[in-house]
Amino acid sequence: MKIPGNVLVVLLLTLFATGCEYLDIVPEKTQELSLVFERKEQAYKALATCYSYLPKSDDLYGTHATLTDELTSPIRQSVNGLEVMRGKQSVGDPLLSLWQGFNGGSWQPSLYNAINDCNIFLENIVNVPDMTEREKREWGAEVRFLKAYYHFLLVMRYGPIPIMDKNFPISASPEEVRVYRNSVDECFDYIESEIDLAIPDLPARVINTNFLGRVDRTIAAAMKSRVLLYAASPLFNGNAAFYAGYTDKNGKALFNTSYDNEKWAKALEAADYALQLAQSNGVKMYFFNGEYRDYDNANVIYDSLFTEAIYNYKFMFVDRWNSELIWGLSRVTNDWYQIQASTLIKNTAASSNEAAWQWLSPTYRMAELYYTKNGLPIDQDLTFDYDNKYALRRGASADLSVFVVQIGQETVQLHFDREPRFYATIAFDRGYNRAHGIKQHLRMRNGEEPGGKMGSSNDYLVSGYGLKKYIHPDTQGDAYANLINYPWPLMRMSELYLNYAEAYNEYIGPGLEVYAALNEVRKRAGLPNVEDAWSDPSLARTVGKHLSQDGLREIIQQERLIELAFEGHRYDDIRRWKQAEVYFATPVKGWSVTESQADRFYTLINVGERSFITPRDYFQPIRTEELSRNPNLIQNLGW
Amino acid sequence: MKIGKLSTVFLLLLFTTTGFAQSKLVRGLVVEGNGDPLTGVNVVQKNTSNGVITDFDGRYVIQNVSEGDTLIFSFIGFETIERIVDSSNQMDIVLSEILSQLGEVQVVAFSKQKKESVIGSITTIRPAELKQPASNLTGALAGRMAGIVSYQRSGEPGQDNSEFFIRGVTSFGYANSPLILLDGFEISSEDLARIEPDNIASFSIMKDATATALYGARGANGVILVNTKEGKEGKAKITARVETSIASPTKLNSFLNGMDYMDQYNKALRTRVPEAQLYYSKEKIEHTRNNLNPFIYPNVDWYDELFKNQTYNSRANLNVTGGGGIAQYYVSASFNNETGLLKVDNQNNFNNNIDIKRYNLRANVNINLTKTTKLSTKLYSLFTQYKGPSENASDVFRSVMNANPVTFPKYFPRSPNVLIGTSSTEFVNHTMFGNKSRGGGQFYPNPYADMVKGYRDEFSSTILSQFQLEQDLGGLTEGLSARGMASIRNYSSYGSSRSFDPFYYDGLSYQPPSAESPEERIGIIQLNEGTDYLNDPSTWTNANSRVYFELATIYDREFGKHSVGGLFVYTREERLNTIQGASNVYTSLPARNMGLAGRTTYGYDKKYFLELNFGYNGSERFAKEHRFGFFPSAGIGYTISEENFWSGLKPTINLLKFRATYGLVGNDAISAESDRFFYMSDVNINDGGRGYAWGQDFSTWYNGYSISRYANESVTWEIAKKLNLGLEMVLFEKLTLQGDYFRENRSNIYMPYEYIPATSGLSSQIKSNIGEAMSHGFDGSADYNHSFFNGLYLIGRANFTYATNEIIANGEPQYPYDYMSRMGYPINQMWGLVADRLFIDAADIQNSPVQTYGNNYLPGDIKYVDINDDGRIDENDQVPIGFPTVPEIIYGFGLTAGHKGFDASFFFQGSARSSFMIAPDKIAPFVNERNALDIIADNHWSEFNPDPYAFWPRLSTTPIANNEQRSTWWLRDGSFLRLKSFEVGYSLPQSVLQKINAQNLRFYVSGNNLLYFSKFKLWDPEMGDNGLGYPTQRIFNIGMNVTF
Repeated sequence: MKIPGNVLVVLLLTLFATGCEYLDIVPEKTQELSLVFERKEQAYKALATCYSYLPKSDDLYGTHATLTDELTSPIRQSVNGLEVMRGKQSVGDPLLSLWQGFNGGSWQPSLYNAINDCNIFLENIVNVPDMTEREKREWGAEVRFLKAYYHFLLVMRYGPIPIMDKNFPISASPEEVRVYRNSVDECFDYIESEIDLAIPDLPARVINTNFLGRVDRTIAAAMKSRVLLYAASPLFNGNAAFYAGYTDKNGKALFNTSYDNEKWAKALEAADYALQLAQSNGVKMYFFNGEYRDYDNANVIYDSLFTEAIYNYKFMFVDRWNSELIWGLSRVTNDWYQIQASTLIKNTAASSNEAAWQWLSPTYRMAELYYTKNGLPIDQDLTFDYDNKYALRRGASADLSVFVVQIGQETVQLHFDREPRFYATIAFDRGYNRAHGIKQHLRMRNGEEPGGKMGSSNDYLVSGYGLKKYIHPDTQGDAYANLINYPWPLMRMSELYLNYAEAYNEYIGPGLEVYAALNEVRKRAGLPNVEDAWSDPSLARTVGKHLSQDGLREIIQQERLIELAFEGHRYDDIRRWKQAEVYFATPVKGWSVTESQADRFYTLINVGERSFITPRDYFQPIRTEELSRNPNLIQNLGW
Repeated sequence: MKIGKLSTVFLLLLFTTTGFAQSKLVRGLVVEGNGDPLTGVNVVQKNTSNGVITDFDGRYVIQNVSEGDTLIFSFIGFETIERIVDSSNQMDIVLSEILSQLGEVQVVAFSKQKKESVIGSITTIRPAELKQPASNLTGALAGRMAGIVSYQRSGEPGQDNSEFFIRGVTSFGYANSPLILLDGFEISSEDLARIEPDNIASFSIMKDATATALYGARGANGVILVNTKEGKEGKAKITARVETSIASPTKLNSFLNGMDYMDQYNKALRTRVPEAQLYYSKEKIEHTRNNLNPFIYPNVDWYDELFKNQTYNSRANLNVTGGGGIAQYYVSASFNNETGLLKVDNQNNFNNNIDIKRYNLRANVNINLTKTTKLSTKLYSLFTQYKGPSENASDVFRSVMNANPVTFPKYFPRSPNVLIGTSSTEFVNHTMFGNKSRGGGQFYPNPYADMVKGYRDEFSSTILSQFQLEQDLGGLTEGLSARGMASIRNYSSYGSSRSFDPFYYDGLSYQPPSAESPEERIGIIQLNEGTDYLNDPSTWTNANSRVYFELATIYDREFGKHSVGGLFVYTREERLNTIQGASNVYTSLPARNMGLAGRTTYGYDKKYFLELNFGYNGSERFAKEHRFGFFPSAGIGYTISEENFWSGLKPTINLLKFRATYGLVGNDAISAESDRFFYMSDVNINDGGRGYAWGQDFSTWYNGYSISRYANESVTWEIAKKLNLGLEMVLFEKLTLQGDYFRENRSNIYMPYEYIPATSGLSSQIKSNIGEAMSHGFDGSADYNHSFFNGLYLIGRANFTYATNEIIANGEPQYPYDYMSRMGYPINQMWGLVADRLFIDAADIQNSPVQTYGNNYLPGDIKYVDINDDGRIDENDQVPIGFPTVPEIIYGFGLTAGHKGFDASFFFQGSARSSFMIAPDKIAPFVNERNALDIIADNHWSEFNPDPYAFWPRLSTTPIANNEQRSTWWLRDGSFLRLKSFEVGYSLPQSVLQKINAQNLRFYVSGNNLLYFSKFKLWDPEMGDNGLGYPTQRIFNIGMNVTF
């Protein structure tokens, strides 16, 4: 073996030199973002991504609908929204944070993340070769609307926020990314102008059944109505009481402090436009036109109007893509977390109740909120024995109560003679519930079924009430697959009438237009016209309340709280009216569910603490970490 | 052990011709401290030329001596012993090794070097010290070697690898673990854990720049070099070792009994909500106390029901070495069996305790093809059979914390007296496990059901083959040689898990015996529909391979007083991973690296040494222009004790050497395998999580995209600049001292820019090489060997490592207060609130700053210090608390003594300057009806005992966020000192051995983790925050070692 020494070294160096390609191991065509914009079929993914950030309104732990005093739950079931209402919100790791995202972003990523993806979409959609110009404009307008909507959701939670109209380059310096907040007026103006930019390019109405749930002009106009209504409301319009002197680090005032009545004019105009557009595109109030369920045949014969009103209101929520739905959340939550499962009352006949939790229950306050059968508040209806509302009364066959209270069974007076929406929404002891394809005869005292607290089980309705609204009557609670899903209403026609009525009353004052709008809602609810109900001295305690602007405001507000109850509006409405101390700072009540005797069961007790600190809790805290990352940000007031 | 051929020949020539008649013959055996025979030891009669050397088996026979003469036993690298001949004819000797002796050979990167010329910082341990009565080599590292920081958090068989770092943690990037090389070939820490100490020839750690720079971008975290034994020429020598041991937890957690549990639960409820109904009725407590019925009024000690107090393990090793001039072999086979502490249950016919069997085979063969060509092969295989519960055993331990004694029994008996409604359960065909509905279809953990509901088995194999050709090129130029090596390793495992879904039942009623029914009756309800058969199994397979190729030329020659060395080496390596279900293209691509490395050494007169090294290598993960890096290092050494002027001191200070090295080393393991190609963005354009549905039936579904990494062309490896200043000293030829001061600057640490706010909307963090850390410390060791004339010998060893670090730069946000900055603090520093005490009363709360963790805190809850004085306790009040989680000091010391066949040794190991946090949310009693540790009941705040410094704050049945914050309240000192091992052995005398034809036979009893001392009393402090997991094991062991 004779090998010259230098040959060895040369050999090693040669090996090394030829081996450099050894390290090139990444094959061609790995996944890159640009691929998404190379074909239309791929671009759908980019579009889906922009939609995917829509908060999961029908998901028990993700929904903002639990951010309310409408519902409560056993203390062990820590539902995020209710935890916030109980005063468990923290600056270290805020619950239900749309700014930062929550549950590590798995449940809901940051909406700024959403806005970033919308910006990517808007920058790149023009590059897709196999799409027509018109398609690109339409899709672009959809995403522009979503971007505006995400900003709006952030404004509703945080007030003045930084507007992120463009993405920063990856190489941006720390100084660049440390943005300041925009004022609320700038935010609302921006949202409005983005929606305005989107509206002309959007199709008037999406009718292709494969794409229901995508944004169209009707949706955009309706949402603009909501945006401008909120912008004109006391929380955002001249709120010097809370926010005088609340300025950004650069000295800029973040809230306007002088009231501007013209904001109501814009809100009115937007509501008017949205209503007309909706009507011209076939959107109308929903009336049930299917077959009554067999178990209700007897009722129909007795009083079809009343039963019909219950059906109208009930199915308005759960009937897929019905005529009233302007925008529905077309990605439904299918599994365990589906909010329907958490309110469903267990079926005693089912072999398993895996999809019926009976956790979320309406608070006593909601049982009082609904009108009497005459369309008046319970303390305003002279025919309603308000003072004896806790007195026990037996269901009898002689009156209307036969459909709503079991014959011969005792419950409180409060549960008699109420409006159809009450019976369509609230499940109470000795009443009925339409679920599992049957009519359940509710027995909700301790140890009773269906609906009562059983032993030491943690599946129970703490207030003694159940919620019917989310439940499709044909849903079977014995398996998730048997839940009948529906698109959660993000916007429906009732709201537009109510927006219109509110804006009109605020800007102009009482008028026939207001009554007409309210009556659209009341008609479907099976109630007499508002002016009739309030003008009748034999019925109304405060006759003519509807004739004053203030009186009418209260009427509109109560109508809105009832009509849109449990749909995720109340938290925003109560706050924009600046009434949170009244509703959110006091404990919620319910019946004594650990009692089995009627008289003891019907004793009101506190069933949940509530905490609301004014003005702090009007807006959510920004996570402390974010303030460290961006020293130019100022924390929300009081946090 | 050491064959000095030349000296053998020389001595033979010198001594065989001597001898004049004297009366006596003395024979004996010379062994080293661990009992291995020593070949070639000089045995000389003092002041004469009468002498012999020991043979291959360590035996000697010397004639012509008489009583009163002195025999001198000497061997290079070992202490010299003088013994006076007494009346017996038998004289067995134990020689102790002297470390740092001249002439010894040290393993260095890619080759070996004379120890005297090594100037890098390298610690070598005698393989015998790694022997311990456990089947995990990593457990033996802590406190044994200067420079290793190590701790073990779990005692679960198969999951008990220790964490270990060389000179502490120096990076806060992805990987801090050292490069581990087995016979020059990279292996994982799991592989290291499985190496049989019997097979190890040398075990070294490389700590500084000159020792590691040749490994270039892989060496920054230090290198562990393990070489296995090779064959020795001679007739077959067989060594066998058999051990069996008893393992039991070092410390058991103790929990409240049922009555106390319920009592305390009710208190916990009422102390927060005074008007609350009692959760456990007086009646239930009373019936439980009276043990009315164990199923309706259960009082379960889950710990006792589930776990045994001890388990038995065994190990055996057999190896054979020998060979002739052409070929030598070392072949070994070993077996070990480890079992867990889970009780085997009579409800099932399957055994769900952990049972691991490992079979380990090795064959190292060297063949001299020609006089100058040597071929060596090393074949190694490890097969592991695992059986265990379907749930992770550590989780079974943890779940005991989550189940209380009274909610439900383990199971209900199937009997005519146990009724569902009115029907008997006599013929129910499944176990009726106890439980209670938790709401929402959820149940409480029934640890028993978790344990017995199924079992898992897994088989894994590791096969490693190495092929090496060495060519002496002395013909070309003297001292030149070359070698080529190829190694392949393949690992694969497959397994499956089978379990049934437990049926749960809840107890409803108990009816005592009465007139109409003489039998007692128990009413239960069924809570769910389980399966009464094993479900379809879940199965998995994992595999990975590594292929390595190396070519090297080595030059080593002395010219008079000059000694010159050189090394030039080319390496390339590929690693391929298959993980079942890996969904990412990047994960599936191989990892590769290649490099050139070189070393030049120069020594003059054994006094002055110079060494220059470089590594030039690259890995696949970086952009082309950043792929290759150059890592130079240099060092100088000065052996002052070789100077002429030292001769007067030489008998006292036999050796004194100074070393200084400096250089660069890299670390390319800066992120997970799946997150490797930094220059490319990582986008999933088919992400269901970002998808959305439209349409009438929500069926128009499109997946979305998600970005998990933004591209960054400039990302490259971490750079470590290492400085080492060392000192070696030998005193009186008995005490060897070694000490090193080190300092390292680690820059280019890959980490996210923390300052980017959420408003930027990025879906993943932007990362770059922005981190920088500095570490420094000291490690040192002292070894003492002494043999007394009466045959008693003593070996003492101690070592000490101190390593600390601080963050110099990170992309941290701009904190509102300067004290919040992480810079200047150690990498593993914990941050938290400073707990003052517990609130005394409502007025105290009123007068204290607002605490922002939920608004429901009361007297007896933790009061924190308002660091920034803004009247609010929040994240801004967090400060560095305690020591880092990784100990800054690790030390060990031990002593071995032997006399006439008996030997005894002990070894203490300690750890200091570390802290850990008790996780209050994991042990908070009563929350979700969780179990309660004794200590909480014994020592908590209450209205009757308003001790503001009680161990546990005011009790609660719901989580109290205020008390669960990371704070000094839960901080504990992680320091401990433990009696790591203790061993007593007895070797049979030669006279007996001859009868059974054995060379050596030793029996021994040993123990591991026998005792510990710590301020922390709840659980073994080494477990840190994993205290409720599988406990650390205390082991008692007996064994036998025989050599034929």
